[in-house]
Amino acid sequence: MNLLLQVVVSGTLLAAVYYVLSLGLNIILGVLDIVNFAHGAMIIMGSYTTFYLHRYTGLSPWLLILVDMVLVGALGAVLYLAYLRFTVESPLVRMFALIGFSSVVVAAILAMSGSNFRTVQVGYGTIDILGLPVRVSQLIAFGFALLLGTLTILWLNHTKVGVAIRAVTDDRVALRLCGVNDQRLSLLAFTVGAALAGAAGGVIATYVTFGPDSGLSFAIIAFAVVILGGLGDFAGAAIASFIVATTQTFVTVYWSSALINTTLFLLVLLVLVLRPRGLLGRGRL
Amino acid sequence: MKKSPIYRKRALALAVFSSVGVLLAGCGGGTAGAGADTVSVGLLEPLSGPFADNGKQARLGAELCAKQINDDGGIEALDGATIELEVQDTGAAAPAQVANQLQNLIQQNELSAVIGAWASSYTLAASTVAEQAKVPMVTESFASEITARNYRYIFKVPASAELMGEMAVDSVLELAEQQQYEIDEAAVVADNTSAATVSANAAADQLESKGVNVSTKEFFTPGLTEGESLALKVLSSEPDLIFVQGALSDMALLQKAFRNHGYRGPLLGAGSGFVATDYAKTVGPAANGTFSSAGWNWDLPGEEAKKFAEDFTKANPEFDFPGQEAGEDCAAIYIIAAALEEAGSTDPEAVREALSTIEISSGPATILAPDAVAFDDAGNLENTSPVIVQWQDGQPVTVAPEKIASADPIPFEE
Amino acid sequence: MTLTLLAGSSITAGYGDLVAIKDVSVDLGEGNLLGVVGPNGAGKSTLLRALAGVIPVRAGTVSWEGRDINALSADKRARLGISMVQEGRRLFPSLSVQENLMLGAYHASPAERQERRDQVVEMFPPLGPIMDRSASVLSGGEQQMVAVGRAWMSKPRCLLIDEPSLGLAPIIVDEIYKALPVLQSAGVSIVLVEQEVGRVLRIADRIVVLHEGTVMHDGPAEDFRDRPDALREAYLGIAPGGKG
Ligand SMILES: Nc1ncnc2c1ncn2[C@@H]1O[C@H](COP(=O)(O)OP(=O)(O)OP(=O)(O)O)[C@@H](O)[C@H]1O
Ligand SMILES: [Mg+2]
Repeated sequence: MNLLLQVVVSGTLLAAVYYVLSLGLNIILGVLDIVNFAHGAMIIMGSYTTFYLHRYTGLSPWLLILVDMVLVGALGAVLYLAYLRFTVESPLVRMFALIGFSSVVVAAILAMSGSNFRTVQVGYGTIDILGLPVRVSQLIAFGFALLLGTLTILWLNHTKVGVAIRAVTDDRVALRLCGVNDQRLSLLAFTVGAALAGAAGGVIATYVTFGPDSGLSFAIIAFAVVILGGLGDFAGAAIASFIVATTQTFVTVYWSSALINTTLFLLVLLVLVLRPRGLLGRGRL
Repeated sequence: MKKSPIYRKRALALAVFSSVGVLLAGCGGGTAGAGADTVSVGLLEPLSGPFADNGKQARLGAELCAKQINDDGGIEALDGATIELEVQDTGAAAPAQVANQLQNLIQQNELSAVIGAWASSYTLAASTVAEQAKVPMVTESFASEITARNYRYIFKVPASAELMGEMAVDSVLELAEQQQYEIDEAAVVADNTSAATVSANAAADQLESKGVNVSTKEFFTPGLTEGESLALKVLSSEPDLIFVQGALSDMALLQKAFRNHGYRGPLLGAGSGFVATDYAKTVGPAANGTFSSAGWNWDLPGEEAKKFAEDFTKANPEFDFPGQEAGEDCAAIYIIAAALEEAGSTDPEAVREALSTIEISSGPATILAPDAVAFDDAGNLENTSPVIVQWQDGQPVTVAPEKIASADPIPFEE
Repeated sequence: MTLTLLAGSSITAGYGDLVAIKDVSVDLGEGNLLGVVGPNGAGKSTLLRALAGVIPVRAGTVSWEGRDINALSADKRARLGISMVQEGRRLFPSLSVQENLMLGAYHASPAERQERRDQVVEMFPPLGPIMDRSASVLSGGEQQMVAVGRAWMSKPRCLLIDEPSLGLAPIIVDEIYKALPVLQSAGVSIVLVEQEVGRVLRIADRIVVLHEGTVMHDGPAEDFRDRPDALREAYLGIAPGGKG
């Protein structure tokens, strides 16, 4: 019974982190319809930014998440302006551009930082929740997930820019006819998506050990969450994060950790077949 | 993962053989007479990619000791010829590519010997090329397959992976018994790569043969995104000892989670990650107390080892101590130098001959095998013994075997 | 003479190798309703796209109040006051009705946006109760109302409407057509493209007939108002009895 409770608690805390991982991808893939093969690279850039700034400035890793957002967002903007905006009509070229960008990032980190694994030590200790030890840093990460998720949802649904961004992939021509510069909006959305991926990197930096190519595992989780929740459905993604995290925890504890990815894959497949628009049936096709 | 046995070695060897056969057709093989002013020794190591840190240690160790030899007057029997390292980075290439890299290295240089290639899979592939080109290869890899193929040109300095695994388990059980810490129940956690699985299963078998119940064996896919659930599962069987094996990032995540959920008992690791120079930095406080086997450790007794450790940290102040590969490759250079003295020639065939009969009882070469350096017929270094280290305050210290231990283990805790 | 608001003079436009309209000149007077008719593939939609800046012109000039606007992109032209309802409505299916309308007034203040939204509901009462419905589930008539409403939201000075009657029941078409004179009386100049000439003639000030990418006729709608068949017969070759 105690074990079950622990599984539920750690699954819930983990869900929050997974939700943060999915936010940026949900904008870039879910809203902008760009299959972001560089999501993992963007995440890991955020992690390294936190690591080095923390090491050299001693600033709180939580504060540094803001810097991660600015930096990775700016890099996303450059990537979009320099390349992606010319590839609106050719997803295949875009895919290679993103894969290429990703490998450049990994190689650059490897060159600058070596293959050493990095950790950001946050020593806030643990507190008891329902008699279970919970790291304070996990709670803060949970808070960040709520904050960033809420802000993103508000932005996309209740500001005119956000609403326009949701319309970009529906019909660029119609959007232009409304007097909106669709390219500038795409740039903005891509930048915000990249910034959120950077924020996710900052959040995970506080609880995992990472190397130059650690982004991939987190990107896989993010893809699973976004697809399960429905493309562009941020509430669906919250539920999906919870399902992915608890499934992962349950499968590990009561079955075998080697089956996590298989289970996730089957779950995604099942949802794609039964609910192609995601769990809540509201996602983009 | 590293220095691991390879499972498709036959297919691999076959592939390498056929490609090498073609490549060799136009290659003469280097023979230089006595009196040359330099001797070329190849150094084939992963200097970039995921194993770059290990390869870097190997390179620093080899370079330091080659310089010492050259500063001391070079190879006397060759009129003071100096050793020149021809360095080749394997990167993160596939083993077959590493074989090609060595092929090119041999073609472009008149090598008297070659050192490499760190990963057992690399060494298995590359040694086939060395064998065909008749260039002696000294390796720091662990896998026993490397010397089990009746090759004449391969010389392996560390003990075998199997012996290391066995000894690590035995030593930890012994140390625990001395402290009246009872180990009845153990758990084994490793990633599901073949190398990790094999060493984890071997550890489990060894534990069971010593009467320890291994109720949890967990093999996970590398690249964990969280460690909590795995820790919950492993700790639910209330183990007194946990054997761990995998990439450093996953280990860090797991070890922190173990500590977070209240486990204070001993952790036993295997694989290069656990003796990497930055292991403690990466894992943080949870690293303290972790045991691992190693081919060599910097604090081994004897003046030679001590001097090497001092020279190394003086030359490379960014490190607090030389890593395992630094010691192994320094010794390899001294062994090759001794063979050159013996052979009085840079001819690789003569160097091989000298290596196979060499006996060194003093000097820096003995930091690996304190009694005397000599190779058996298969090319294994005799008298070499794995060491069992424990991380204490950010450094690996030798805690077993008893006669070479430099410190007592940290008291075992429930 | 009324002042010319939007004009295309000798414009040529097309897609790839295809020249869809060639040397076409049209003139929209301030406050006028210009009807453009012609058979399938005549180039009507292409003409509207060229005027709105969705596709570039290859020769000729599009001008706004006498100023050459060839170089302006569609979104800039929209901000000048040129609004277009595309063929097939083209709503944003991801958004609700309300959000579709709001996007039409992207550059307006929130208060203005609200005010115009209310005007749209006044113009098309059926939209009132379905504001929060997803645009992807609307009926064709509702879609057309939203499309016209969205174009109106930007408070345009000129409205380009492409085949609003397409695929709609006559009773719904009536409702849409009722809105056009209302817009016109509010000062909006309109270019209305249709295949069916009868309705257009009834409300247009001027009529242009396009055929195979060129202008076959351009004159006051009055000339044919009471005898659409004559227009059909003269230019479209589809009069009862047909031509030889
Ligand atoms: N996007 C496009 N790409 C290529 N060719 C096109 C495109 N749109 C239209 N055309 C071609 O241009 C020509 C004119 O088409 P346009 O759509 O302007 O005709 P239309 O008068 O609007 O016809 P309809 O009454 O059927 O809507 C046609 O031959 C058509 O096939
Ligand atoms: Mg048309």
